[in-house]
Amino acid sequence: MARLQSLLRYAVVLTGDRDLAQDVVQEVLARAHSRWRRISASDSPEAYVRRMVLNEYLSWRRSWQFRHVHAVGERLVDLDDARGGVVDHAEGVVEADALWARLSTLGRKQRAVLVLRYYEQLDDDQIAELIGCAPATVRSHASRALRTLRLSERERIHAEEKS
Amino acid sequence: MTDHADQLREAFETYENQTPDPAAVFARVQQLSAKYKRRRRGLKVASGAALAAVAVAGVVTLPNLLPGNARNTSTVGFPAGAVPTSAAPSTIPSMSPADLERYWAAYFQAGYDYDDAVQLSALWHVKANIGNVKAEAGRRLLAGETLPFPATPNPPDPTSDPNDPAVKAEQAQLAAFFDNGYTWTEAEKLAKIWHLSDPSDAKVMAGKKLLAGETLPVKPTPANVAAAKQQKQVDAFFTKGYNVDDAIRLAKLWHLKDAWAAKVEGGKRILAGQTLPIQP
Repeated sequence: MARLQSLLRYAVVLTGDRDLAQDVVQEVLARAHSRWRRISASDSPEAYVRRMVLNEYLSWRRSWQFRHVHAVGERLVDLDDARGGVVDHAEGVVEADALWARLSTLGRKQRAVLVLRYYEQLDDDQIAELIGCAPATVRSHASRALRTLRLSERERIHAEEKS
Repeated sequence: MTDHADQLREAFETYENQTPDPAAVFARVQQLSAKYKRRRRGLKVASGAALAAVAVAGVVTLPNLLPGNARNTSTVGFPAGAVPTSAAPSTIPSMSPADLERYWAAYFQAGYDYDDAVQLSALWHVKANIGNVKAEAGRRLLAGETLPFPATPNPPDPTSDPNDPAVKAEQAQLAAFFDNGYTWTEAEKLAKIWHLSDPSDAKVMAGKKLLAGETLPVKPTPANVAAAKQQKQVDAFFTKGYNVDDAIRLAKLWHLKDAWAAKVEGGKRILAGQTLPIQP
């Protein structure tokens, strides 16, 4: 149960949409189920399935834009419901809400790069391997995404950070 | 650690628990999996034994990822009341797990999908979990009713083709906007001046004008101009194949205070056509 919940959390963060996360995870697990022998032979079946979720998200062919626009409003309403209708004015939460909404404006690859870098804590070489591009492209995606999110002005990159 | 990293982590962590109901996911996985297995069976009649081995392996091992355990994975093991109706208020009545399975199967077999359910939800004016809308639609289909519209075919992949000239042009316009130090704040102001409802459109229009050598009615802040210039230099550094370790070495070599300064200096030299003292 804990692993499924962890996978669902990952999918929610990756897709930004609870329903899309559900569709993606269902699709992936159903396919994983039918070829589990091969997957279980891999070094880390869990990592393999997470990678399948990433690929499924990046290649999702359904009506993205409609889902995307609709889900943003839905999600914010859901969050408010989950809080029992009590508005939390804590600055951090408000900022997180605003940032979450802005994340929905990113392209899929840009969003995936940010999720893999800051949520999954992967370095750029690992992300490049997962997404199938050069590490420089990962940095370019991240850089453009941060600009779009209006976070670039606040960047303070230290020497040891792989930006 | 950076400010933006903390902010992003906080946003991700704030929303990560808005997950769908694991029980509903589990039920649908079972259903889809059975469908895929039937399909595979049809394709691989001759290798029935191998398929059975795969299926058994799946049943025994996949539960590590799914709720329940190896003993109950061949059936849908819902805990009492775990049907996906609890997440949101609904005018659609609660359904038993078995009914949900039947209704979803009918819904998907008729060719409907997620997007259709979203449209149905709007048409029916119900604020319910989309899974429940799918189930209600499936129930109606099984009852011989027709839904308000036929299943819509999936559109082609909406991902932008990076080689599409229109996409390339827009990318160049956006790059011009950012590379000149403009940010969202200026895009909002420009959108107001140009009567555009979306500041994103203002970014593109502004970029187009900048590329055409025109002057914009709003100026970027000097700090952002400097930051954009630096970012362009840093991008050039990375694009050339250098990484942060190279930047640290260059910082020592050039007696700069940190790797960031080395990335900026390196990018500046690369853009000027110079060669750096170390190779990437």
